[in-house]
Amino acid sequence: MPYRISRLGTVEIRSLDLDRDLDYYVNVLGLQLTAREGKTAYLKGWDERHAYSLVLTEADRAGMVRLAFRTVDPEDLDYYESRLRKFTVKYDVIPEDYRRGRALRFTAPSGHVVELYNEMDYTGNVLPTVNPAPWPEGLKGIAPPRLDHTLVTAPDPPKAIQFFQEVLEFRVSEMLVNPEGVPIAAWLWQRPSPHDIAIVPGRAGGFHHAAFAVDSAEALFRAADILTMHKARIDYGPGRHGITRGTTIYFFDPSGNRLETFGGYTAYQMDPDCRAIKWTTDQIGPAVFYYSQELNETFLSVYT
Amino acid sequence: MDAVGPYTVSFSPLGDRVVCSGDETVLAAILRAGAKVVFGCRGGGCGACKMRLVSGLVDYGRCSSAVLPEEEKAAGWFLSCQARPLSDLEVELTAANKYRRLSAAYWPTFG
Repeated sequence: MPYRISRLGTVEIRSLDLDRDLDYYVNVLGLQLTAREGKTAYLKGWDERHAYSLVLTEADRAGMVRLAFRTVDPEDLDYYESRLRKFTVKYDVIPEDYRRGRALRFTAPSGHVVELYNEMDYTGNVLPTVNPAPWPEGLKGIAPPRLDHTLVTAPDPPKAIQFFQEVLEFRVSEMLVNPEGVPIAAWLWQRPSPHDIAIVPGRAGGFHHAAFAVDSAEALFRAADILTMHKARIDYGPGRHGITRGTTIYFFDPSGNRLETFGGYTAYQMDPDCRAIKWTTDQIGPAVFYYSQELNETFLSVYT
Repeated sequence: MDAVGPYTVSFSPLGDRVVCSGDETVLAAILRAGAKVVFGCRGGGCGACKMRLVSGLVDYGRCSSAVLPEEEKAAGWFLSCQARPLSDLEVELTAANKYRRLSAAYWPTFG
């Protein structure tokens, strides 16, 4: 089966104070500010080729507004439209959005607004396209190269997991299975990586975190140092997940949305023949936080 | 807002007290005193640090209306990670707050 989704293209997150939070996203997290239009700002990692990957919108609450996947080819959007029809999923066609072409918008059984799109303005990354250096000098903050994945909460995880598998054709890389054999959490991929989206139990529409790639051990500890220098609230880490093997720091933006640095140097590459790895709920501690081997107080209860 | 105070924040039913300057949040004062309570994002977004005011006035700070709606404010609830005292406060701890004294550092500021 070919994969038709190239990446988690965009997440839109609510900010309680856009001026304050933009300062954090640009100078501490170190994203590139693409544009600001009134109460909304568009940002991206330095190595991302399209116009933006993170949208911040001022609101009276925190949390996620929507998430959007970019398809590999334009025809894949038509393919997904036919699948939404086949599974009688109600959807809207969004003719255009900021620097983006046609999108399909629907609400997943997890309660999240999900969009599929293909066209977004190709801006290139911050490096030249001819004879480039491997990385740009003079970046601020943690400066992750790109958005990696998101984790969301669902009141009925098996139903939400099944939707992403059947309708959108994501595959499960790893899952957490209760004693009855029911998957209560799953890590789902299309791009050859551990996950593009993951689902854990919780409120409908809940936003657990968005993760940005931080690939080396050196970059991981540098990121933790920068967060601490700026007195950011670190939730967990630097550490490692058992699930995905990725390295992690969980931390919060100033409005209380959880973010993550997710490490590629131990996270694996998926192959079309990879089968799902199973974790049992009695091992949820090392599954989530490999070194402490236990969940902290906030993992399953604190999200926006 | 001009920082005034310091104010005393007392916690029922334990009777513990912490001193909280006017520019410090209630949560920051609790942690500085060497005690521990449940808190989450520390940004006013998740609601994990919610406490109930019995008496006194606070500046609520910037809180998500999804976790601290106006009717809850009216009933005395506030987010301890955002709220700064505007007077001496009496706060009622609930089981959800999981308040506990952690370190010996607590004792010099106690009473």
